[in-house]
Amino acid sequence: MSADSKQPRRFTGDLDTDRETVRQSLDGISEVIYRELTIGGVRRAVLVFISTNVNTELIAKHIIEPLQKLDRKLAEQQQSYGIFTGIPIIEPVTELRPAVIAILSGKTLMLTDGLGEASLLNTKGGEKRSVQEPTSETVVRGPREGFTESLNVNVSLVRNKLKTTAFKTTSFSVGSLTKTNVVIGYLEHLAEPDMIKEIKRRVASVDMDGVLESGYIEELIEDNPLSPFPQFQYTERPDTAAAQLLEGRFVIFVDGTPFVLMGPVSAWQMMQSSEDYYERSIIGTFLRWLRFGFLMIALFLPAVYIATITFHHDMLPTNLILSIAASREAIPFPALVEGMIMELSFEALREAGVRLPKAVGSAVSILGALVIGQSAVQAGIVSAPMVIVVSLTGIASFCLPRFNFAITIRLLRFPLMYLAGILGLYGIIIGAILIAGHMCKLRSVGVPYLSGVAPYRKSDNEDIFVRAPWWKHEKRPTFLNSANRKRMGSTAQIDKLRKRVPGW
Amino acid sequence: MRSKHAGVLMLSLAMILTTGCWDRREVNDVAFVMGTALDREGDKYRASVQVALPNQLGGSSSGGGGGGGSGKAWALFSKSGETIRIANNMEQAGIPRQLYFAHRRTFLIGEDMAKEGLAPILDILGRLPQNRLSVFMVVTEGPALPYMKVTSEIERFPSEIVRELAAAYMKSPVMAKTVIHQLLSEGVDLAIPTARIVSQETGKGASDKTTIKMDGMAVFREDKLVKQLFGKEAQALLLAMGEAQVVEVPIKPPRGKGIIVLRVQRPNVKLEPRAKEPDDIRFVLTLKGNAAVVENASTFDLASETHLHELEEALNKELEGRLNGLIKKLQTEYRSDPIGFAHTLYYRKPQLWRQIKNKWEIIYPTIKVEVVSKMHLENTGTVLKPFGIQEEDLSE
Repeated sequence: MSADSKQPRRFTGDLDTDRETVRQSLDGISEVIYRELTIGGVRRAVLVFISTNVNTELIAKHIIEPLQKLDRKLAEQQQSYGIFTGIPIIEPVTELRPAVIAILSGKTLMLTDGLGEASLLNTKGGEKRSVQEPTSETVVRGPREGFTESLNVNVSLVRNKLKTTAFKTTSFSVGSLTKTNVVIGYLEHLAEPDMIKEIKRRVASVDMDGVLESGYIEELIEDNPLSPFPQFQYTERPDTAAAQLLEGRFVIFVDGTPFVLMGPVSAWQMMQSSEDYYERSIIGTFLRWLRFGFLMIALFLPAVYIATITFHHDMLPTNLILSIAASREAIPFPALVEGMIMELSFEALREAGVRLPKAVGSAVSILGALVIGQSAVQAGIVSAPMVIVVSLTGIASFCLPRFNFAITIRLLRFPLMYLAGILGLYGIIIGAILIAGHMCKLRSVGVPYLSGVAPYRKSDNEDIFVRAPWWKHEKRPTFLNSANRKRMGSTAQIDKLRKRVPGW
Repeated sequence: MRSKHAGVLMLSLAMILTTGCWDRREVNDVAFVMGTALDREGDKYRASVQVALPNQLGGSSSGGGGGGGSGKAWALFSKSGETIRIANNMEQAGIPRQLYFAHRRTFLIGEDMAKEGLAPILDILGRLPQNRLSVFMVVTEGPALPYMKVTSEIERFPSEIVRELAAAYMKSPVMAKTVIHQLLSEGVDLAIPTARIVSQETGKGASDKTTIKMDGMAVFREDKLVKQLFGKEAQALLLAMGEAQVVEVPIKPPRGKGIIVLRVQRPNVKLEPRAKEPDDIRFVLTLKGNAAVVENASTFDLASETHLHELEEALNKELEGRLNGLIKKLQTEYRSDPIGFAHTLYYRKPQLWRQIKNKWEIIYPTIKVEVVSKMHLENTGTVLKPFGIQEEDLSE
């Protein structure tokens, strides 16, 4: 056996032996079907497939029927029968292991008596979700299609948008048990070659038993795993993925999830929504400013409020501080504790709202509004201004278009509140400096996280704090270092490619 | 390695957690001082602070729909001590919350205190950053303490009345920083708004409710009060200083009976020195601006242009008369120079100023000031002829 395990098991050509070896490998899997047939009435063959993962109609109509009806003479002469079936994708296989993996992924193995080479027929089937509107990133104006759980569908959705041979894809199989298909896609003439090499190396070196979502890979390939900031962007929208490709980024499709990873990212990208680009530039710019404003509120407002009413009473207008003092008169907690209680209960409410079944969801909002919004204030547990601050902060954090970035901001609010509670504005500034320093240091696949601002690039600022109109938006981001910077008009690189690659 | 990391973590945790909140001072631990009144009491200072009571301000904490507190929203604490700070400390000893001066916007100075001099007050205002230099300074007629107790029906605090009045009284209201600036500048004396307590209503059967009226100017020589001017004189001083906001002047029309009230809007002052020799110093004070008719309770017809010119003439005469009278008094009686004649010389004729600087005390009463009023009557309102008077009854 030890000699056997080193040498890969090959098919012998003897139908009964081969069938037995396959049967041993697939022992204990009740859905496996061994369907015997006689090709053209002369040659015995066995189809091995998993009944739940294949399209049985396809097997019946396009494999069994044509093979059985094959002309006897033809059947005797042939050494391979794949071409007589109606299946477009057929691979020859001689070893047991890849054959078994293929069977598990929904292919059909055809063993033929007297032939050492078996065929794998692609008969994948089973239930699939259709292309639907993405639920996590909705837009008013823009495409309504979203990625599905099927990798093939996802790649095709992007390829439909980029009809160019420059859109290259590399496939990986990740996960020792799940054998998840992972595809890295990029535009050859735009993406930095070293970056693509690096990301391929990182994905190829992922070694774990199962990859069920792109998040598994994201955490294993990011530059700084301890940073609270997301270093990849994910999307459910093919148009977003295509837009990122067009800026010279790569996308990572993972089979089994509608979320596609994209990188490298900058912090500014986290403030952009695909709709910024679909609406007119003035509106896009306004929405972006709104988001930046609310980003500051989401991050700093509770901290600034706590600092002001704990230390810096002179910073507020007299009437305002008197109103706050009046509403805080009966509150038993210090501002910091009050703020923590409220922010944590807001987070709990939000979490409950996400996880609960939809039917119970409305109960949470009623409880939240009644208990926290009204009763807590009336009972004198929390003050009304604090409720206003917390709700404003909550709304502000929902303004951020990227969920993973918004939750980072919500997380960073707590240390800032704590610093504000013990050190006042001084503490907030310390916290802000620490956050800014960390962001300056952070890299996403080697690209600085604040690219465009730090290091500063004038042309990149067309798409950071403003969304310049498309006619002004000629260059791609410099921080991705793409060879081909111009978005508009023909450029030397494209002309070169046209000459080199026929049909480009 | 691991233990080292743990040690660093423990140390930093201890640093964060054991510092406590040593200077934490919640909004409910402080007493917001809304105004201060300062009086002289023998050789002591009486400092009175008006403190806001937030629980009387009608927060949401009381439940049952707010509604506002029933009692007054302020408390008054008054103590006398050798210095202002000592008096404040004595007050503090009787108040469970810490006195907090950063929101104080009014600083009332009693008449006696002002006569003694402002210098000791200014030190504490400038020394502690919590005392804002943007606090409005107001001199009171008589002691300042009663001003903190007037009934405040419109505003929540009596000091708020003073604040609102002071803010609207002058083009650039007198704040602590203005006082300091004026005292330190060469050739100009201090003039601070003066308030007095009046009854809310007058006449028969009036209630004894009082309120604060801001219609005066306190004229200083150096840091000491010399005279409090009220009414027309104070208005004339404001006009001459270029600080008047809106002045309403009742004029007797050239012909006919009754009175026309004119409003002088945006008055502007230009002070021009005409001086070459130390013994011949003359000034031209030009008053410019627009005037409008706000009330015509006379039979004078305003529809004709010649009549308007006559009225304009009358207004200018009236203003010139008032200003001339005031300046004469300032020169001879009060010997104070709030309009800044010396200051103008200092800037415009520095060489001459250097010659006469030491003799200014003697020269000041002798300088000649020519007041030229160039008010332009622009607006007669939406009514041409007075209502209720037949055309034939109007005077030509």
